[in-house]
Amino acid sequence: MSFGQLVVVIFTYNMLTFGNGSAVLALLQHRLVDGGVLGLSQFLYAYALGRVTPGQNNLYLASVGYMICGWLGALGAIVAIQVPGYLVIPVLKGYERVRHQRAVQGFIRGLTAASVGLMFAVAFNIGQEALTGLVPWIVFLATLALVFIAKRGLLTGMVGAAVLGVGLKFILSI
Amino acid sequence: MAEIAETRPKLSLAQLFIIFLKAGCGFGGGLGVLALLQEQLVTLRRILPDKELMTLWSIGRLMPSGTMTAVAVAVGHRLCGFAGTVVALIAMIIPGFICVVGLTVAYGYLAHGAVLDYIDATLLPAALGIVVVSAVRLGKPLFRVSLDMVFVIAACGLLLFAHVGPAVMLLIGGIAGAVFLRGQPDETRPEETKP
Repeated sequence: MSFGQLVVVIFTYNMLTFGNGSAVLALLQHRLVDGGVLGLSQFLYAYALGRVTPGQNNLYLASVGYMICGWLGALGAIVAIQVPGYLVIPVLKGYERVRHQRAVQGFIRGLTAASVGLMFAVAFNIGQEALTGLVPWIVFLATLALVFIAKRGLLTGMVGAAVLGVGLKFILSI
Repeated sequence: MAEIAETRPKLSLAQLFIIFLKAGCGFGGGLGVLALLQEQLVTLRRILPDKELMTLWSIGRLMPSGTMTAVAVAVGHRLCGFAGTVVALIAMIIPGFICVVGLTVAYGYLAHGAVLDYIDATLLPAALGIVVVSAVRLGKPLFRVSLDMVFVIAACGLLLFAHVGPAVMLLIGGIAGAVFLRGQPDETRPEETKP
């Protein structure tokens, strides 16, 4: 697969799937793995990286880009997934013109409430994957305790709890 | 109802870069990044109101590609114009990009090792913790007996049990809000509704 094809494929699939990372994954798996461009283990490794590294989950596409076209592929993939975000500027300008209308106010209020529901649903889904044993539960509760009770910042809370988890996992594995 | 404020708070590109660089260090996907962004912009620096960030995130969910990409563009544009969009995006991407590409280079060593299992058992639950914190903080104004709260519960239930797609769910929420919430007083903005 050439660099140009890689960028076009990633850009097109991202444009087609509104906020639905799983759909992009399915499309890319069909195009890249079934198409013989990448091995399944390579593809799954790239996807796993997106889950365990900082930042948005779709940064795994940089890994896919690197595997196919090296550094240039990684950069091309990143640009391809960022460019559609600029559509938000005209959307917000349009919103500014109509935001005082009651129906639009109601729309945004409903959208905001649904977004909060979505966040809890996503948290529940991640929880089903992440909270699979004693150590993950302790790490999760420690994060909440550090932030809500000890009033630590989010990064401190997360890193502190993760370090605690590494220690516990190491002790339990001895 | 959340609004996008018309006045632009003063912030240098360097400050914007630092804010988004810190946000880009968030684990747990877009919500982890959002949590750190909320801490920086709303809690610590008071640059944006809570509800404005939530509105940008809600609209960002309806954009193609990544939600946080749209949020970074929107916030960067609002605070520092077009240059702000580029700076915000680059800063937010740097931490993840370096880690992802670095670990891809090390593919041969890590793919069959226990390192990823270790990360799964420690960083992922911690990231879940900050996602929950973010959801609680951003949803705080809605946690009261109200029609908004019914929307929150209904959306969560439909996503979890009816497996409705996120973008479709948000559109349903917006349309239902336009019908049922447009005449309702918004108690989450007391400064506007209670003179």
